[in-house]
Amino acid sequence: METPNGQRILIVDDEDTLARLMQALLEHLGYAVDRAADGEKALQMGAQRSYSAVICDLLMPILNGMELFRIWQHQSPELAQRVIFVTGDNLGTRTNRFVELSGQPCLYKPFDINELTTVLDDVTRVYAGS
Amino acid sequence: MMTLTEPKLEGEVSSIRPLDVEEPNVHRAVADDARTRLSWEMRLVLLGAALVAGCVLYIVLPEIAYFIAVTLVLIALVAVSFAMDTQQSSWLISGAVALMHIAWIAFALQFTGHLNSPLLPLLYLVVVVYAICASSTQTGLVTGGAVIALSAQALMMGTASSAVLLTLASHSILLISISWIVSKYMTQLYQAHDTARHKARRYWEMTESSDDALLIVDPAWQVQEANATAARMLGNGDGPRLEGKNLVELLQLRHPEGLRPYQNQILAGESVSEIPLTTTGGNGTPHTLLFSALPIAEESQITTINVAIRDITELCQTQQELKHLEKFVAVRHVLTSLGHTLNNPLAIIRMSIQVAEVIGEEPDWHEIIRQLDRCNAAIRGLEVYVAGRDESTPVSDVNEVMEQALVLTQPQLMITGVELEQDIPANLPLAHANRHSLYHSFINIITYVWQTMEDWPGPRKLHIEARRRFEAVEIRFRSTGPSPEPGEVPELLKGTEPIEESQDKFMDMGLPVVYSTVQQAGGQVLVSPNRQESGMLVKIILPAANEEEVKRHKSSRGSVNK
Repeated sequence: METPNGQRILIVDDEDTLARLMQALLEHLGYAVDRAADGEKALQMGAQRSYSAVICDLLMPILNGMELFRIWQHQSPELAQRVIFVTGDNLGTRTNRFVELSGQPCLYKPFDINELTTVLDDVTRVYAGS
Repeated sequence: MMTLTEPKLEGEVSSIRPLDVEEPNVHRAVADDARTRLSWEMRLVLLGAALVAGCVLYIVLPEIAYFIAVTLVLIALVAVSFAMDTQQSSWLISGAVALMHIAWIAFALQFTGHLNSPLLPLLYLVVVVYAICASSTQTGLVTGGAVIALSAQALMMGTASSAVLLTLASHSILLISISWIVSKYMTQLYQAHDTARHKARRYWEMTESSDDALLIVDPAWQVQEANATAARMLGNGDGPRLEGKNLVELLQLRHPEGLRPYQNQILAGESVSEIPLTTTGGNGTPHTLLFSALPIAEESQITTINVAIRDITELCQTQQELKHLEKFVAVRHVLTSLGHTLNNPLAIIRMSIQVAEVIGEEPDWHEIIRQLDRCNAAIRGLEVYVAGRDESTPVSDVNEVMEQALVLTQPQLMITGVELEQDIPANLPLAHANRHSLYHSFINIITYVWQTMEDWPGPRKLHIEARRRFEAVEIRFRSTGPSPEPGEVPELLKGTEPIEESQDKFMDMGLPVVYSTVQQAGGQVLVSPNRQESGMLVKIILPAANEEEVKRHKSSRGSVNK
């Protein structure tokens, strides 16, 4: 795997263990990683730093991934385009409808780490190109 | 009174009420009119006889006796007038005649010197005022004229010949007055006949266009009359004439003995409504019918029975399909929740192993076991959900059941962005309710609640609390979101609203399930608007378990734990 040095990723997930595991993997691959446990925290972090990609869970307390994405669409459209959704709600029609309309990639749990790195690579490459 | 449902309009779904008491029975109406006509003939005879008697008395009796006789005639006239009916005109005429009578006697007595009271002019004034008031109607005009003529007669009875002439004149006026009244009432009678004929036509139009089978049968259940639907429904489709056939035999009931108690009830003069009956299905398909009957009595004797029958076979099939759909929708919701609940720990397990492999470290086995326990808990929740009702557990720990229900429902709350608050004390007494039923009820309420908030633009909160209330346990689900209208509440609970188009919703089914479940447990379900803020409050009140039940519950738990 290519090591994308200098690229910073934001992981937004209330599942602390999963977020830590993704962080460990991505740091091992050479990414700089920040974590947020809910959408509100992510909103603040997104305003303070620039991220190559945001791995965002859809279902979270306080401010969920859908609401966070909609805010970014208005406030930071470029950041919104670098969001990778992660969800365990694989059967939910509401979730699927949202993902389809957003046009952003989505990883359905339990996903393979190769899926994660491939999607992440695609998104960060677009960011690097821009 | 045989009554009909209004004809069903295209696309309209009428309630299952085969008999509607608003529509009159034309046979009865015509019979009433016949009685009216007879009564009027009697009245004419009576009036004629009274007039003849008055004239004869005038000729043969002394003056004072004549007045007494005329008084009797007038009293008879008043009585007849009162007996006519209760219409306003009748009362006006009766009043006029009564006052006329007073005037007659008073002025006659004054003339003959038997009475000389200063009140007489006042009495005269009352008569005149009444005559003027009464003349606002045509009948009043005639009777008012008669009053004035008779009064003049009394004043002018100076000589015997003039008295005779004027008395005859006044009698003529009285006769004209009575003729007028009679002709008026005869006109009304004809109008009543016209109305009855119109009603009869409408009745038969409605009868023929009705989707219900409408029949008139005699007390031996022989069909006297039947509409086209009855011929189709009971005549095996070939539409033979049903008249003279036995209705009970025509019904081809699977259990004819089931109808017998109702037959007895009807013959005892009581109506029956919406009795479900199943036919043997002479043409191959059993049908479900709703049977209603209204006995008609003449002088305490049942003469006819009006019967309405509705074929609800299709409706029953639709309801059955709805029940299946309800189960399907509920299972779909549970599976969606379960998927979410399982996918998170599975993702952690998979990633733990893969990341450890990439990094070159040992996976965190404790973490993996913890995640497997999470999966196990979710699967147990599903097992409880799909397990059959266990009658051996009549008491429930509300805390425990709520925890299990939230395993399957919390993800949905999160998806909808509903903030959940819980306040269930640990020392809450056990509730007298089947654990399985209560678990389903909680899932249904929570699912119902998040669905009401799904498109709600305001804050989305669900506050669940439970308290002991004397010898009961009260569980409250207070949510924000749209408030139910007071009129909607019975429909919400009993599920009379049609199902939503989307299969994602079981808003119209979830609460009726709760309602019946809690009622079976001897509890109550109350739904009301949330008074604290917009939204609704669903309250379940269950009896607290008694000591014996608590002991049994604890011992059974102990044996399970061992």
